[in-house]
Amino acid sequence: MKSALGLRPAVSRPERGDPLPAPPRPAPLPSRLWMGLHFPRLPLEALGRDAGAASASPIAVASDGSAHASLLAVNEGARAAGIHPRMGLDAACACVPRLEVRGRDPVLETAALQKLAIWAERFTAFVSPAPPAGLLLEIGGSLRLFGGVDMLRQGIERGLRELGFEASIGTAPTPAAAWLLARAGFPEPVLDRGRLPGRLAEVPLACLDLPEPALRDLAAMGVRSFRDAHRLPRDAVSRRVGEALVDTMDRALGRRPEAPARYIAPPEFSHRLDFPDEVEEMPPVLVALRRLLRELASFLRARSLGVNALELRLLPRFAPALCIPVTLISASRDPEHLLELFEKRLEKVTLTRPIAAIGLDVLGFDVQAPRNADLYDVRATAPRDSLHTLIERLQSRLGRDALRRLALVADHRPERAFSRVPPHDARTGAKRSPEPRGVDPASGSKPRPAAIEPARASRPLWLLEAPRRIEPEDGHRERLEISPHFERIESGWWDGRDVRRDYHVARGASGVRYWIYREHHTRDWFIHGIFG
Amino acid sequence: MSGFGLLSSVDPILSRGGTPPAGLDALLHRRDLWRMGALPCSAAPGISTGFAALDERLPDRGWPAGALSEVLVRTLASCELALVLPALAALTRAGREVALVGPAELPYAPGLAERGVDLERLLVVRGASGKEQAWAAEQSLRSGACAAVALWSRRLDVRAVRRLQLAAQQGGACGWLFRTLGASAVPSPAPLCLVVEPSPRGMWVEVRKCRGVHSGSVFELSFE
Repeated sequence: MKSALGLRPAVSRPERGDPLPAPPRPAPLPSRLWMGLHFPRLPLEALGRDAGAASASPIAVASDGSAHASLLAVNEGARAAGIHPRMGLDAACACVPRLEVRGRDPVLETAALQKLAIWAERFTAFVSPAPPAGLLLEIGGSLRLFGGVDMLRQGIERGLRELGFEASIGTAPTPAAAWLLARAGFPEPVLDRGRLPGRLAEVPLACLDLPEPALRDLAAMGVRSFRDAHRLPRDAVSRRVGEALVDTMDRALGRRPEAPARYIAPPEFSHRLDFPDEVEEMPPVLVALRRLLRELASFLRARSLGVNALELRLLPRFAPALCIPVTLISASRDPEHLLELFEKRLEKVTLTRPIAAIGLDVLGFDVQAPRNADLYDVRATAPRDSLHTLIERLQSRLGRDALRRLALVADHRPERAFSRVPPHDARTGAKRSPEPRGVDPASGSKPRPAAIEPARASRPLWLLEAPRRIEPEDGHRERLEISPHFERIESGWWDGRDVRRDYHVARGASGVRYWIYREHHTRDWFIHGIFG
Repeated sequence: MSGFGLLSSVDPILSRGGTPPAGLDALLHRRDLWRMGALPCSAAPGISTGFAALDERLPDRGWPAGALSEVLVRTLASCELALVLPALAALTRAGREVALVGPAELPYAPGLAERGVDLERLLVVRGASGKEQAWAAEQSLRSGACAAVALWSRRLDVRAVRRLQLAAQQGGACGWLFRTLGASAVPSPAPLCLVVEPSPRGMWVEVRKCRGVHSGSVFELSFE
């Protein structure tokens, strides 16, 4: 069919000499073909090889620990002893007293399925996990490479056997049909959409992942297979047992399009570089590190990613590795910037033994999409990045605690009315004040700074870390000119920091204005702040 | 030099009432052109100090951008923060970053916010050694990420101050170096040097060193 279409214009043109030959119709795309992989024993296989899917001693995995739990998967030994999945746990234990029962581990199952998805990417570019125990592979594009459906299926089966997984495979033009055939254990591939209804007819309804009450109702009506369900009037059946049945049937028969989500493997970067000879000094380490960071940069650029946590490992030959972690405020993939951060950290490291290799691991990836520049808000543009760079550079040398921003805290006690917070990065912009940032300062809601007269401001510019007591005998108090007006600040019983103070403004002999208070209990005077 | 002479010879023509040609008028308003008799100004506009009396005495009509300004006080944590506060508030509220490196005491957040400072644009570096603080100030000035950087320093040698001045030039940032009067014995490469003292109504300011201006004038800045 395809070749006939492709040839027709080439043949017709020289014969008729048509001046405007009809453009060749594009060859029809190879229709999509799906392969469904169902892993019936995944709960058992996910527990690892020691669980022994094939071992002789009977092992079963139960849905939970209760006596009413049902078995999810059994190994060969248990199967030989007459135990089958879906059997009750109590019944199974009665049949085989030495049965080893294990609890299901959904985390391990998800991890196993993820591992299988990555593995299956060698057969096709499009793998979609169908949790809890299945994979969907789009194989239409892989058939030529692998030599047809049968060869491909054999290859997949062989590979899975080596990995220690058992799968039933179904092949069909729609994902839902491929999955149903796999669930039902019909390995014969269906390549033509027209043959789908006939092949699906025998599929038991239990394979359709319908809710338990719906299945019970259908079974009570004598509807047990796909064919039975297909004969029922659509409206009535969806009214009685819900939309799921009709929806699944439509998708399986290709009446309703379906687009499974493609699996994208999480990025992973862990590279190691061995030195030809062991090195005892830093410069060769930095040269090697620069190379690794360049590799990392190209790795990240290809994926539009950045990193926000890295770890450098210095590996001596016969000693544990020395790990140097670096975390970033905002994701970056600039090798020079990353190298600079590592250099700052390595300055403080002295090599006590020769290093044989270095390794670089990425501990955290982050999306680093190119940002859009704001047309009007110039502040959002260029300097933002260099501010991150600056903050990281300062933090890497001075330590994370040395760099702070100040924030207001709603508390009436002066020493608790502020907090020191770590510097924000751009992504926490939402935490910033709700005041619109685009307004012109002159027209903004707050008054212009020049309009505020500092003399009238009620709070000082400086606060002493610890209030300084004014000793009456040292003569200091005489030199302070204390204003009679005071502000009383008291109470705080709820957190045990009760205060009772009268705050005055005082002018020292040097002209400096102080914020001083008198403690009610002791009648002592303290300097708490400086107006400046 | 010849350029200056030419322009000063143009002046009498203008004063005689002749209308200046349009091209010349545009030329006279260029910032990078200095006319004898006028205050010299640098290519980059200065940052207004917020005090009109101080602005008109400074060649850039404010704190010079891309240069280090030295402010000498008798004791640190007295009135130096009040001197730069209007500029600090205006810069932070315009969304520019300002760094305070090694402040002598704790800058009090409610007091700053009350006077219009946007605290979210204020970086405070504390708890590092004097050498590290100088390094941090230099990095902040050079990065171009900060519009202004203030450094409180008790001991700083000439070389370190020169490095700061160079960093401010490179980053185009306004640098404030707060030192005590005792440090003024050391010659300083900073192009602007002010001495401030608290006064009953505000503060006394002495312009000790300034490009193109006779130094030594003392005046009072009033807060009222």
